[in-house]
Amino acid sequence: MKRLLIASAAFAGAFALAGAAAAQDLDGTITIEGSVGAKCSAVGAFGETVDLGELAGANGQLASGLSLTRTYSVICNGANVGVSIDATSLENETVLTAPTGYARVIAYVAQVDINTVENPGSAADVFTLTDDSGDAAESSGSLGAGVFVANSAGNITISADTFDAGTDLLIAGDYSAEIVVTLTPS
Amino acid sequence: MGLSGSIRIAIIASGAAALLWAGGAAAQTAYAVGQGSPNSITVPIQVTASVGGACGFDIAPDGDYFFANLDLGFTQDTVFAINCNGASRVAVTSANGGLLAGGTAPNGFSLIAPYTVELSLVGDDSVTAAASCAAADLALSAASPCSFRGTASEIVGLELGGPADGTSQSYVRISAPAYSGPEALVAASGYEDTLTVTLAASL
Repeated sequence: MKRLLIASAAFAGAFALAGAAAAQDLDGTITIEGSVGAKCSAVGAFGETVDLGELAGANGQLASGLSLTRTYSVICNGANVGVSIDATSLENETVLTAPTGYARVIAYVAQVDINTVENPGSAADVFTLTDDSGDAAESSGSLGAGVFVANSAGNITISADTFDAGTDLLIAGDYSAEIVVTLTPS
Repeated sequence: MGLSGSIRIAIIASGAAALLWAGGAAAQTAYAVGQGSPNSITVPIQVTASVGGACGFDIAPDGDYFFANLDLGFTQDTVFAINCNGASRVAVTSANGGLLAGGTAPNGFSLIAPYTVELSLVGDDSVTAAASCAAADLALSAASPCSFRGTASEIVGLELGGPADGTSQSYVRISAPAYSGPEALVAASGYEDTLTVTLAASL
């Protein structure tokens, strides 16, 4: 007797198995915070010695038309920078007392002009301070809330004019003076 | 007296719809040895299978940092570990495209400090991958998106071309030199950015 072997179908045919991904962290977060401190820095030299040359005219009195102007560049990254200017008069370095009719001190007016900017689109402006060398006290102020030193070359100009020694004859010798401009970030 | 002769019965493969026979649904009959031929039938069963990409951070790239005077430069690493049974991809997005402070900057000034994001991926058997992008190019709005910007997927992100068992240290490095841009960075205390780092199995 023939025996039949029947292939049984106790299975579901072709099937596929797929591995499931295990649950794990798939992301991370990096939070970064920081600050930028207020500061002012000079671009190149800030200050120099200026030789005015001969101070007396042909008549021995103070020459007319004396003046000086110098321009510098600074970067200040905060608003409302404090500014001060303090000028000392030109004085004879060796003769400490002038006889009657002679002068050893020459006064002048020093000035600082700072280019400023405010909100985007607003017109550029200039902040100005003056100081009389004959006045011992300095002159000071601040740019104002929201007002920045313009970020541009040559944004500070220091000048001196209105030199005055009266009508006395100038004593011969070397004269010196100092103009100090101070910027204070806030 | 017994019956003689033979009875041949054809068994037709049939059954549930889930039954699939390789080579068609032909009837197959096997006979006992000496009773006929063939003596066996083979039922091919096709079995296919796969192992899905399993990926995750054993150590996630999480960090919270503060840099005072960031305009003077900074650098910081955030270490993480990849655990993937195959190739993987890491992607990064920057919320602000740089460290951004609030407010309005006048002409000639800026409220966004740039920095660089470097990815270094390390897997098994010395398999590595590295790339760097400017944070500006990792923002979703970046005009020139960088290579690993976005959310990691099978095709998005820096690819590590082999498995990683979670023991090797990868890192995200954020860095910037002393600021020297044409616009001055405004003095402020609220510069900030958030990096989102994601991981996915790669194709």
